[in-house]
Amino acid sequence: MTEFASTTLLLLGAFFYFAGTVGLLRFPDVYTRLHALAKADNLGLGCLLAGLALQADSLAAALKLLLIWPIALVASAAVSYAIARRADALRLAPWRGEQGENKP
Amino acid sequence: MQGMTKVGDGVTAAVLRRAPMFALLWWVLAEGQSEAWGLGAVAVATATSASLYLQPPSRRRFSITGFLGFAGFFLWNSLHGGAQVAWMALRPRPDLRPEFLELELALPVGSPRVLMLNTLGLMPGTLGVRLDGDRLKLHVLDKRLPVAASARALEAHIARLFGVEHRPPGRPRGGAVNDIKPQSGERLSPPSSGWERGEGP
Repeated sequence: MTEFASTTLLLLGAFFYFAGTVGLLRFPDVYTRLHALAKADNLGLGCLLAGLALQADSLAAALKLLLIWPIALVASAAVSYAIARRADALRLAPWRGEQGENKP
Repeated sequence: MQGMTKVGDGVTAAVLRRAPMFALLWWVLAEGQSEAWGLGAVAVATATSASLYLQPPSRRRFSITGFLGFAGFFLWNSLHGGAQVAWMALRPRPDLRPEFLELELALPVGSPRVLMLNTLGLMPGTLGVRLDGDRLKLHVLDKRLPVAASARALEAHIARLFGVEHRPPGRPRGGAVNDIKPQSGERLSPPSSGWERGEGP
């Protein structure tokens, strides 16, 4: 049962990392790419760590794995804000769709 | 200014609250090995004094129920946000409608705002771009999503977590969708600046 839950979580984590990378490659500009990285990769990391924690030898080791998640979240949130802010300061215009297609 | 005894009491209470947390953290980091406690005692003492220096005890108290509420909200929304952006990345046509929005923050300066700014990037469809005084510039992935309502909900959770007032401008409570407006006036540069490489269908 634990084995199954752990495998499912690890596969889910791999899926979200994959989706985040696809988003990084497919999305049109720096802002949308940050969305893909910040959200999908962090969820992937969360799933991966939860899956590994289920296989840990002791409670302390499991908690240590889970502790990585909030710390990585803080780093990734701060870094994506820093990149977005810099892009904005450089006046990089956000992508607004194909010409004439994306009008409300 | 407070009297010396009051300040001293505050420090003692803060030490009694924080030192056990750092001890727990050390126990986790050492993976429960008991022989590491000598070094652990030094680490806990150093961490506690550093925390007193960096975050002096204040009257603002962290609420446990507020924390659980926030953690639940955060977990659920990061799942939602991750799944949503994964779907947007993998579907045959990305069909994004990105836009800059501006939100007037209803949280006090300091940790509540920092937390808001940082968690927004993990919520579905939003990314903090710049904080200017009270005004937070957001980038949203799809302007058709109800981002204003979810940003306000996040704000309310953070307010409860820190035990501070939450007063969104305009309407006193609820969705408050109207106080978030597109920055249509702010075309930073023409859309055909060559920066974007629209990968259409």
